[in-house]
Amino acid sequence: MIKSNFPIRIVVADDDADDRMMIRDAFEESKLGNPIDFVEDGMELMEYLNREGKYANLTGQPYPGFILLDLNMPRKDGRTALKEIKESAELHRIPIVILTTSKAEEDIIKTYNLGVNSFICKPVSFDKLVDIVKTVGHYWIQIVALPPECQRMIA
Amino acid sequence: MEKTTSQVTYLKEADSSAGYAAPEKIPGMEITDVFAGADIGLALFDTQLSLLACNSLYRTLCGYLPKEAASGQKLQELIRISYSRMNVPVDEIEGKIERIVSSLVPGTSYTFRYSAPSGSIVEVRRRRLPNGTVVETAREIDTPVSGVDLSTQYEMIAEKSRSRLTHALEVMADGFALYDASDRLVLYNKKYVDFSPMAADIIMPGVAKEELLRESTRRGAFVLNGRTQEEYVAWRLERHRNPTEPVEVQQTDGRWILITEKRTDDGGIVGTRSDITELKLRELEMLRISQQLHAKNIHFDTALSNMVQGLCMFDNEQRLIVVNRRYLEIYGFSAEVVKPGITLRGLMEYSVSLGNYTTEEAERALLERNDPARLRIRTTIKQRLKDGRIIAVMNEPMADGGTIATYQDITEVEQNAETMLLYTQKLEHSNRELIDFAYVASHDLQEPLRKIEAFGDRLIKKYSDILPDDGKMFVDRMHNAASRMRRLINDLLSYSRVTTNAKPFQAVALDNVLADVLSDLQIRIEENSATIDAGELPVLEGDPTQLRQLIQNLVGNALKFKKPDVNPIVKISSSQIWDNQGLPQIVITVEDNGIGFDNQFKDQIFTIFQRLHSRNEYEGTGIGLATCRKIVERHGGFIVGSGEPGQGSKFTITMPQKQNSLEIAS
Repeated sequence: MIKSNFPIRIVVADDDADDRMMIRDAFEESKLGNPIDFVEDGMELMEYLNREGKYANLTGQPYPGFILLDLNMPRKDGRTALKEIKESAELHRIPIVILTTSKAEEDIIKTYNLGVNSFICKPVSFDKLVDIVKTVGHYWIQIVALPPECQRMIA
Repeated sequence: MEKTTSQVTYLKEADSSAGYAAPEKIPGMEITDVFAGADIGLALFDTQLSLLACNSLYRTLCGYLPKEAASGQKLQELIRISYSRMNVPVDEIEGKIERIVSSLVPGTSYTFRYSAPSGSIVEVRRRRLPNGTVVETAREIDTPVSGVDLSTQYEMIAEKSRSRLTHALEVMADGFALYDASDRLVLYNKKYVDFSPMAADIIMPGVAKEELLRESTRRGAFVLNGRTQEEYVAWRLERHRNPTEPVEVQQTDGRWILITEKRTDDGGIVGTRSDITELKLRELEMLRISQQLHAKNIHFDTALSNMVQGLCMFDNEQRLIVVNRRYLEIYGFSAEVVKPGITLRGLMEYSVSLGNYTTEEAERALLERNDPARLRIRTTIKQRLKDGRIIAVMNEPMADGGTIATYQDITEVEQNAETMLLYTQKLEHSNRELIDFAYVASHDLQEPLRKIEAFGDRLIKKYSDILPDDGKMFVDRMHNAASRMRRLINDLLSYSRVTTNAKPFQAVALDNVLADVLSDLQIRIEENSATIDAGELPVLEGDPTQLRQLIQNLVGNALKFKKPDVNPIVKISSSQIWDNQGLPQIVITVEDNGIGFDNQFKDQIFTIFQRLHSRNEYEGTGIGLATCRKIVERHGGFIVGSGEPGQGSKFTITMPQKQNSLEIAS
């Protein structure tokens, strides 16, 4: 396991305040302890990743260890943001996990085609959400080897 | 005897009354002395036609006995004696005498000849002098006489040409007759008599035309065609006396005679008559045919003018040949202007002047119509008139290069079509709204529901130690309500997806579908110790996803509505029948031994949200069977349910094996 100077960050993109609260609580419950950043739509996510606007101060910092991405969001939805990330030379290696209420087969196929790492439907109960967060966090933070730009300072 | 009469030919000669002065008395000389000394037969009758005197030569030549040709004897009596000796039938003699006498008016003379018993020809000249007395002379004419004088020779030459003429008249095919200025018959041939068989006995020299006509008419020789005898005779006489055009006469013997008459220079009338029966019959036949044609034409005209469609026909130069009333009505045309002969261009210009359409439209239509590619094929165009009416014009080329065009006012049809289009658009719009609703229901409605459940969850998890029992119970009920709403939304979605999410039809093996369904329901089947008794199922055309949902709902229902203490048995079977068009239909039956239902609800159970049981007894949203019906109906089939409380239910689906290929997935 590669030790880094910075704890691996997680970014959650979701326009629903309730869901953001629920996810935050679930992460707390899962005792993962990694810092979590929340953005409210695809536009803000791209600003965050490109270190623009209010996120300019993050320039040079490592990219998040993975992104939890909702699909249906205002301004720029998850599908468009996903496409932009995967087409970006800098960002395309960041793992992306879709967490959405959509169960449409079309969404599942389309997003896998675009290169998502996992597709998860938002569970009904909070307990299940805690399970999911625990599993996903454990997997991407502790089990897999992340690409270097997610762990180290970017020159 | 006929031979005898036919040998008698009468020639009438114009008589100069000036040459016949009354005999002058010669003193000391009796008239009989003069008679005895004459070398010709001579007889003199007074104005009452009584014989005054005659010589013996007269008696000899005419064949009278002295006592017959005695003084005081009537001329009529002498003629009678002659006819008797010539074997003329007794019943004809009186008429002939009468006509001879009546024609013997003062100033006329006759010459006639007959064969004397001796074999020589005797010429008798009978003349009535202006004073009313009658002189007859008789002489033998063809006894060869030597040393005859020149004038006698000339007379003989004239006599020969006369007899040639007589012969020619006899052999000619036409009837011939000559009337004198007082309209009495002078000369005629045998054919003339043949044409009037009913009047043969009265045809003789001297007979008046009027009498001849009157008598023949009285005897019914002619077809009067509705005229009285009097009118008929008057007509014939008029035509006879003022001859201009030939007259056609129809006889009761079936013959048609054409009479051609002409005035002679001396005021007489010469006429020929010929048999035109054959010609006339042909002519009448032609007339009959043309009348028939005319009648047919009238039928044709009636049919044309009563047609619902307007019709007109143009020749290969685009000139109007035929037009009907309806056509004029449609365009408001005047029959005075639009009549056979008008050109298509002229017609359209007129139509433009009436404001039916603009010049540009007319030019375009003409151009299209003259397009050689279009001239040989049937074309239909829709014409929109200024007043809003829409006319369907169908042009059909004819073999001779002309066209026949029909015109139908389809305004109403078109308006209906437009209304239909409007309805369709509205329907499509509401369909789109339904799809939008399905999306909203699937996503946006489920979002808050999930939150209610999640926060309820959290409330229990986090604060169950400080929440009183009834508080926990409220959260519990809230939870139940939320999950029930979730099921409702999901069922409603699947119901609406029958139309919004329909897939094109394909061949579906129902055996495989059933196997899939049973595998999905495996746990429930085992839990309920159910027996599934499935026969062989066929392949039919349909939407695989929907057919699966259909079978799943029905088998699922059979398991769900089981009797509490009885293991469910579900029988699935199929058969094939043919509809009244001979198309194969698949019948699928799903039967169970469950709680059944009262047959009075057999229609109600297919209505959405209709339930027969409380939620406490049997879970459900009341959408399952409604979805089943919707699926079956989309496949062009029907579903019926029957049941008996406590005895089980039976659902029968009938669907066509092959789907109409025009079915479009919406």
